[in-house]
Amino acid sequence: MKLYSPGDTGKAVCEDCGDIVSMTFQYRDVPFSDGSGLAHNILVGVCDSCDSVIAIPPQSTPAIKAARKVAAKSIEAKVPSLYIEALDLASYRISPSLPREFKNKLVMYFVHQCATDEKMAKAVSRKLEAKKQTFEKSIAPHVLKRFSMKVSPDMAADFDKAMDMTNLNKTSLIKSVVLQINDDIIRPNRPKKMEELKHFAAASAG
Amino acid sequence: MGFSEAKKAVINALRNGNFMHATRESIEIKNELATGVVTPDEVAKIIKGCRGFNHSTSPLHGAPHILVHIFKKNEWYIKFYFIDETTMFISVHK
Ligand SMILES: [Zn+2]
Repeated sequence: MKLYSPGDTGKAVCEDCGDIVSMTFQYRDVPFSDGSGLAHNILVGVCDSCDSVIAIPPQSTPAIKAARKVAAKSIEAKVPSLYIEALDLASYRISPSLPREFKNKLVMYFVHQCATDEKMAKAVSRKLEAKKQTFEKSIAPHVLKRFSMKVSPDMAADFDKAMDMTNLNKTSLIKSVVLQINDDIIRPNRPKKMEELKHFAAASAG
Repeated sequence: MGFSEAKKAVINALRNGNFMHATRESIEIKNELATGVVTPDEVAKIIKGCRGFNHSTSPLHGAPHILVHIFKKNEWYIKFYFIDETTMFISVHK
């Protein structure tokens, strides 16, 4: 087994340079590929030609594992299954090719708006009382489904702020956001936010 | 490098720690050996149970002169290549 120190050198493939290149080990902050945060100050191999992070030695895995635990916070709620279907339908309307996980990003997109836009927060905070009847009383009995999403610490902070701004608890905020999505994306013949949301979907798919 | 040689080399690498993870600016969450979801021993065990039909190869995206080895067994998907004596893991996930 080999313990690498900063300044040590080695060889790896750099996809940006398109070849085997020489690399030097350095400490860097490296993001997770799913956008759920960073591992801070881990030892990595950096391409000598283009400065890209191209390799990770096994000694960095314990730090990555610890960072992953902190990075991925879980937000969960049990909601009537109609709410989940509404999210799937809204995603499908934005683009039929989106993966099912996109609905979590869609929820966070609206949650972020609640956290940053008082008007939106107010509108969302009133949704549940007004619309719950049609969403929860129409079909009985209700099948409850688990809504669960892994979010970064920044997104978790956004969620807390949105709960504050709307004065709703976690489950009510998720439900209210879905009702807002129903009004904004599902019900209109020509949804106003569609261009913006298609953009957002394309950007978050890459 | 064929199946038997690749299998032997990757198991050795996992046993003696002579491996690294290939990345491109981010920590690939589909590399569960890099993120510590699975251990080198567990990966070695999966590969040990592989036969020739569990193995395939393809050129490396971005550097096609390098051969990528893919082992698929019981839903596990393990992808790596060799540079000199070092095994470079790309993906290890279910
Ligand atoms: Zn490079």
